[in-house]
Amino acid sequence: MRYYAQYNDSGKLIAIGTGNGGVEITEAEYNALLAEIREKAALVEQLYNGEITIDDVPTEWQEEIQRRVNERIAAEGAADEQDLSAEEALNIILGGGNA
Amino acid sequence: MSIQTELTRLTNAKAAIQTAIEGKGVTVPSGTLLDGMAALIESIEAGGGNIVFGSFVPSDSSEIIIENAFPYDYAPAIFGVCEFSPLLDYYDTSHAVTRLHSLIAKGFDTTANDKTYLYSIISSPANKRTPVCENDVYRSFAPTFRPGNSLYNLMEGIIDGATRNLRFKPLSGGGALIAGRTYYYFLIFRS
Repeated sequence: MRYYAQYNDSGKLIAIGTGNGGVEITEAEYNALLAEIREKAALVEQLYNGEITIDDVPTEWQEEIQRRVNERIAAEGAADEQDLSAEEALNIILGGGNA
Repeated sequence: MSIQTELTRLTNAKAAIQTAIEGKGVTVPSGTLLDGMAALIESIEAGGGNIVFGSFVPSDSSEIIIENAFPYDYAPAIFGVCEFSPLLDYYDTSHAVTRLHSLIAKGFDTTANDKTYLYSIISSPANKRTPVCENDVYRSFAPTFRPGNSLYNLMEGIIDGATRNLRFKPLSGGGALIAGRTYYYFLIFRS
């Protein structure tokens, strides 16, 4: 079976797959990329659902994961309200912070 | 046997070999000797039929372009896409093949209007199969992320015969491909 990685014009990996297309890679490379793709997808889901914070995401992935979550939120046309601590809420009420 | 008989036999065999090679689409240059036939035979493309299978896994929920996805410079007659769901753990490539066989067995006409028909085989219990009208842009239902947790939304499958590229993208406002999901596609080409 032929495995491939497909990149866009900017060199960003956009997909992996089997069959024709893209740049041929080994099965081991395919499996490694597949694991990474799915791990990132899981982090996006968890961050989106509030199960984790961005600090729980590996540093080198934080920008990408946050971007994808933001895009997903934008796609839904709404953002979740941010939770405020009591101190932050008091600060806002007293006029000292930003809502 | 005489030498002449043997020469005649070899000459006829060489002519037959040349005819067979040219019947496979390879030109035999004039003056090619018998010992040059082996290389020409090697150059004959392996027959893989006119059905192309493949898969892709989006790394992000963006548009996917698979370059050089098929070996022909014209659009296929049938184009289908389906999904394997690890949650269902039931629908896989064999399922796609089963559905394909079903389509063919029902006398699916690949020559009508000389167009390409896009079918989407969705891995759902209802086994939806949605034919779409012929067009340069082939639309189908396929699993994509959509707000509201509706799994299926319109996705464009665009076939470019000139570049041999396949492009998958959700329609505007229609959500996105699901990163990490394996999508399987098949293309059936007219002979």
